[in-house]
Amino acid sequence: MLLSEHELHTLGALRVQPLSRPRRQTPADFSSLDKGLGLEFADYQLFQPGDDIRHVDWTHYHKDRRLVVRKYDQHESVRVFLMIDLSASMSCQGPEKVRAVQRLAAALALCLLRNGVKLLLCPVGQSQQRVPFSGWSRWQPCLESIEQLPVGGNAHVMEEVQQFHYLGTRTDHLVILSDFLDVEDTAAWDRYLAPLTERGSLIHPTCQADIEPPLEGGLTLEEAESTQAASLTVDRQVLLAYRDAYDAYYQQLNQVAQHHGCRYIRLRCEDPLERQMEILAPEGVLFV
Amino acid sequence: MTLYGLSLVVAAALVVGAWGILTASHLLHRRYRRVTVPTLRFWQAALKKQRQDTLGGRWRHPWIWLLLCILAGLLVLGMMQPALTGTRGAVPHVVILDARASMGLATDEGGDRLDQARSLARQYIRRVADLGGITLVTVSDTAAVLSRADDSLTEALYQLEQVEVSPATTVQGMQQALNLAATLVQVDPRTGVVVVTDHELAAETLPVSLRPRMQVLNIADPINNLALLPLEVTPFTEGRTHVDVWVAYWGREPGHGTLSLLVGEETREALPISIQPGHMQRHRFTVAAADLDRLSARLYDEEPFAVDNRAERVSRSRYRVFLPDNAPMALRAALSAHPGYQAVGQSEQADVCFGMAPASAGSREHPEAVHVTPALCPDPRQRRAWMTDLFLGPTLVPVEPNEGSVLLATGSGQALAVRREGTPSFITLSPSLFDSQATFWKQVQFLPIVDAMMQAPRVPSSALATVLYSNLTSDQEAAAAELNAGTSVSLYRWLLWLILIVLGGEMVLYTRGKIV
Repeated sequence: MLLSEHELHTLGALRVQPLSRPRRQTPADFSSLDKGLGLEFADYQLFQPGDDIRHVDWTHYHKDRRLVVRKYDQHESVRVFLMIDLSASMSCQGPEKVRAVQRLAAALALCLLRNGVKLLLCPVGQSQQRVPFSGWSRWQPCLESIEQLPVGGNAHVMEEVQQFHYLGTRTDHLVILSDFLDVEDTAAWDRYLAPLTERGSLIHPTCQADIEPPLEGGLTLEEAESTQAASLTVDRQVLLAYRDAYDAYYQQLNQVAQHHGCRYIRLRCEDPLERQMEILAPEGVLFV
Repeated sequence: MTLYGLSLVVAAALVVGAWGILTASHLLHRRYRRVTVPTLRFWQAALKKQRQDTLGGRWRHPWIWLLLCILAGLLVLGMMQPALTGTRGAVPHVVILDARASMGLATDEGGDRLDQARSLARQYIRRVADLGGITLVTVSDTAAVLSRADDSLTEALYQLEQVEVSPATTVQGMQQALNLAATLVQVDPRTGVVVVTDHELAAETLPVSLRPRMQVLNIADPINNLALLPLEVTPFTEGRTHVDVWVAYWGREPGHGTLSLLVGEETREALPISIQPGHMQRHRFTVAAADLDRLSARLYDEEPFAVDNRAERVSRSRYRVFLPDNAPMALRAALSAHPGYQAVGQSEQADVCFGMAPASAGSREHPEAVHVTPALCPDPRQRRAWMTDLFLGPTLVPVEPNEGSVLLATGSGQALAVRREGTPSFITLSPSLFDSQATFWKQVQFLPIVDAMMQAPRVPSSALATVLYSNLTSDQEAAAAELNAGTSVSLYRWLLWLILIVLGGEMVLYTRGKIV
């Protein structure tokens, strides 16, 4: 099992809040921006031509001699595309990172399903079909599905994001668990993230070996997802240059994400799941 | 294929050594540890810097090792100087025979250098005649093609026997011959070239296409040679004679010497001379006719090696002529006034005897013109000049030819002067030539015609063999030389192109990042 009982219990208490409030007329679990046919009173509003006269609050009229209508909270359903990148670049650092990513994905899926979110599991790396999950009763098959996701292959995160734009609606949300290495430059991210606008979360699981590779001496470096290789002598200066390039890349990605109202969060795989979820869900609210 | 450079063993050792060094360098620089990383993106900056800073790091890549091994192999192959050879098809040859003045020098074995060179050329021609055509070229002031490739072997050998020493001393003729050979090589790259000479041929003077394929056969040590040619005597005035002394020089540095004119053992004049290589100088002295019998010239060098040339004394100072009692006064006067001739009283003592044809009755109304025959003057222009206003008298007395050479004749072919060779030679003249009404003896060309009739020999300037000697060593054993001209097509150029292609390929791979 990816998650322990204690983690299941803890994660079940988290609430999920979409970054952007949806607006549609379908009754569901999330409060919509639109006021309409819900059960909970939300607010008064002056009567406008076209309003339903049945909603006029006559009591208020007798008091204030103003025609007002009662507005109620409307709840919408939210669908989240959860992209999990277990490609070769994510798995080359060892099974610990893969396990950590799977646990994180399971935790996210659990929270989403518990909070009534419709989940679409999108594996990245191997050619796998997207699997939908909805309803709390489906959390177990969802976790099992995550645990059985194939590891390796080449990541095509951008292609999946493009598919999200084609298949999803303007109310769907996207959560990506990846190292975001499959684009030539961050300008491409700008193009792909632009349509998301407060509907995307970029979660970057990283390990210490990614930030400070434990390498030294003459090496032939082989890229995990291609046949490219390069030989060089790794020393302190080379590691510093690597770190600078690494930080610069993700800093730029963060800027692009923020520019489009999305979140970029870097999590350390060495941290316990509880700590990771604290970062993702400050004060018990998971924003997606 | 023939290898003209390194031997196979040496080449193999070089290749093995070079490949061993390259392989060791490659192994030392190879990265044994291969590490998989998520991406090379973040390593690119450091990679680029290292690539710029450590050229030696290029040794790591297997491609580099392989390309360098190929380069080393090609370079060693180039040093082996491979060339395509074979006897399939006709293989033409060019034989260049040096016939300049120095080839007339005597050899210890008798004969002169040209004889030796001719013998070598003959051997070579006979040996390669079956392979293809022979082009025979001789070198004098110019290059002359004596036989072409499509001529028969007999023709080539015949022309070879006709070659004679020329007085030329310049290099122009040799250069022409070499350029001609280079042209023939361009037409057929398998052409073999052999030069038989006694001069040194420097590589830089050779056409480029000939340098790797030409065989030069030197039949003498090409060192300095200061030589004195036989004296030439020119009658000047009565009692005085001009003596021309020719000095020739073959060598590398300018030559210096002292030319002395001796009468007997007494030095009459000493003249310091300076002469450039390949040049001849004429020095004229005026001496008394009476001293001609004892006259000689001597030339010795200032260099440490002894060069002592001595020209033989003039063998004959004045030409001895016998005139009969009935010789015309004009003839007698002409001969006596000429300092080059000496009248003798007996025909046995003479070099040439004159006689008059018996007079016979005959008359012509019109004077007959005197014709000069080619036997007397081969030059047609000179002949025409001599025949100007040359007439007989009214009486024609023909001379019987009697198997002699007709020197003067009438327009109708009747002989007027006949020379019969012998010891002495005999010249029979027609009295008609000296008739009072004849113009023959009154014209200015009378004396030159008489001179020509007597054919007084000058000391030949080309008779080097008998009078010249130098400090040259004896001729080398030319027979030991292997006459094997390079009839092959060199592969140098192709190897060079291959090396450039390999280098270009390496540069392309490097710029595309395929090799570090």
